[in-house]
Amino acid sequence: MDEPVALRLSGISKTFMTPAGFLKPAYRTPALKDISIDVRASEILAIVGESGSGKTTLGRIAVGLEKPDSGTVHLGERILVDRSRGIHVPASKRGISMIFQDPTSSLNPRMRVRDIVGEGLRLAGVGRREISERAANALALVGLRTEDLERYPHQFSGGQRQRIGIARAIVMEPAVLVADEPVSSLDVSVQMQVLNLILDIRDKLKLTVLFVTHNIAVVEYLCDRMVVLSRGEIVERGSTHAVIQAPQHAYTQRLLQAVPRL
Amino acid sequence: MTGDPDIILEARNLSLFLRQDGAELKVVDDVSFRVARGEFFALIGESGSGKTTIAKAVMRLLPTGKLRIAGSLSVTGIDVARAPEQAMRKLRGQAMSMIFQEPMTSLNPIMTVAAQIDEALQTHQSLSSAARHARIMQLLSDVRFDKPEQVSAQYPHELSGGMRQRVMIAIALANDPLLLIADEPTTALDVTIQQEVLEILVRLQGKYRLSVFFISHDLALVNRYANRIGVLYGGVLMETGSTADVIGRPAHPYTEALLACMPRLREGTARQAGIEGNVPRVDDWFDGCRFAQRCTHVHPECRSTRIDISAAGPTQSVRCLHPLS
Repeated sequence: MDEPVALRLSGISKTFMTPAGFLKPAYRTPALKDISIDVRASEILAIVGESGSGKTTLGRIAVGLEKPDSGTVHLGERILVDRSRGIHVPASKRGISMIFQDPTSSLNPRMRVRDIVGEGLRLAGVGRREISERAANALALVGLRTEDLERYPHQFSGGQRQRIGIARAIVMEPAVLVADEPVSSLDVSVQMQVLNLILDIRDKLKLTVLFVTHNIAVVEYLCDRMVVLSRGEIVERGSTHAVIQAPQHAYTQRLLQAVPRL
Repeated sequence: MTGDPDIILEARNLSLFLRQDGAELKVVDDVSFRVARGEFFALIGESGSGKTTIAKAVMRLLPTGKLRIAGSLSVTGIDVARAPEQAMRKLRGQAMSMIFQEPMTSLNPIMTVAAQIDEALQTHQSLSSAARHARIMQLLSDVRFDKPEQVSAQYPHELSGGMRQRVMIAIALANDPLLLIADEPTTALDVTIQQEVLEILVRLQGKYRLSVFFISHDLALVNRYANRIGVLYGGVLMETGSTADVIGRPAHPYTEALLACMPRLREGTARQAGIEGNVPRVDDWFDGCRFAQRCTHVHPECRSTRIDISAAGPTQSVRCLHPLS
């Protein structure tokens, strides 16, 4: 239960500038307000929210695709972001990987799986033979075959493409995986395969996962703890069981009541 | 023509073929169902199941050169496959109308809400401008706008996604249709907004005895709102019946497997099983059950026998050689 903190976000704030339009002055939209979250080692933590809640922005700040206006990000003891000291470690040097919602648009259609999965390693200066070996291992971990290295994304189904996306993320041996709605575009009958795969690789690799989603049912199945975001603020957090069975905040109650169930 | 005036939509042995460059691709095979007056019927299916093609065929949104309709498909007794275009134009917007997944693409960005509802009214009815105004206000309050006057003067970009979908419903209901076709109308919406929109829809269904033909991929959602369900898989109707029966006592192994892979709160390290494999491709037709390759109850004959749909209970029909009991 008391695993060390793998990823710590403290006092994160972010405001987006909306540019001026016709007869409309530019204005600031606050996206995140003073968000602090600890993700413990090898847990799957859900960031749950509706559109405009700031959940995706938070995930992108953790990965390094977005800079917060203020706040710090720590990976273990290591400082990744400290706005007050001007520190911002680039995404490629963080040891945090990401998987995306749409596996089709996030894989380059003109690249072979070998190059898609190996690209990060190549940019990090890893040799060709080691890349092949590690790419093949990553593919095996996600349930694809070594022969698949030579194929192109269009030759795979949606579920298999998301497996390629996961292989590309774990081949970097990240400490933390950020997943932004990774099963939302998959068919229900395929979705469960990918959820079980995420559980498997978490267990095998002791991976810490920050899981960004609007899908409560997926959170219930997959995530150990959950944080509920609404309009850039945390309204509730706790173990998934506790929050689902006895939501405290009015917003969480409203959200859970709206989810259709079987 | 069907004799029963209470059947608003009926498909009998419906097969649909998409035509392109002289070639034909079968996308739906031998589908039969009925939607009665005032009923909420949901057709659920994964990608490639043919659910959207069926919805488009009902409206005949694709020209006959693009979509060939075999078997029979009738709306209020009128054969959609054979009706002349003029009759179809009368059916659309009057006897039936449709709402789509993304309301923004269906609304005109440079017309006010009032003007768009008015357009629908003027196309099919000859009302005075005062009567049309009253009707527009009535429709906007039907879809739960507190200040219909204010909304009527707004443009689509000034509205949220949920409000846009409510405007679409108002337009769709402008001419008192008997049938509303809804193709994943809430998939792009947040779950709290989805609930709002569907509750408005269900209230209007009751108020006007509207028949709703609802297309969805979400079993949990249709479980909450539909009276009856049809389960499509790979272009074939696997099972139909009352919502309570299909969800509570599925007769087809596919329905059962689909229900089993809806994610639930996990206890300890227990896992839910997914369905191995993938949905069949639309260009891959074979004798035998469409689900046989992924079915855990499969028998050898399932792979080679053509299977008809047959009764499986008071409300249920199933297309399976060995239905679940």
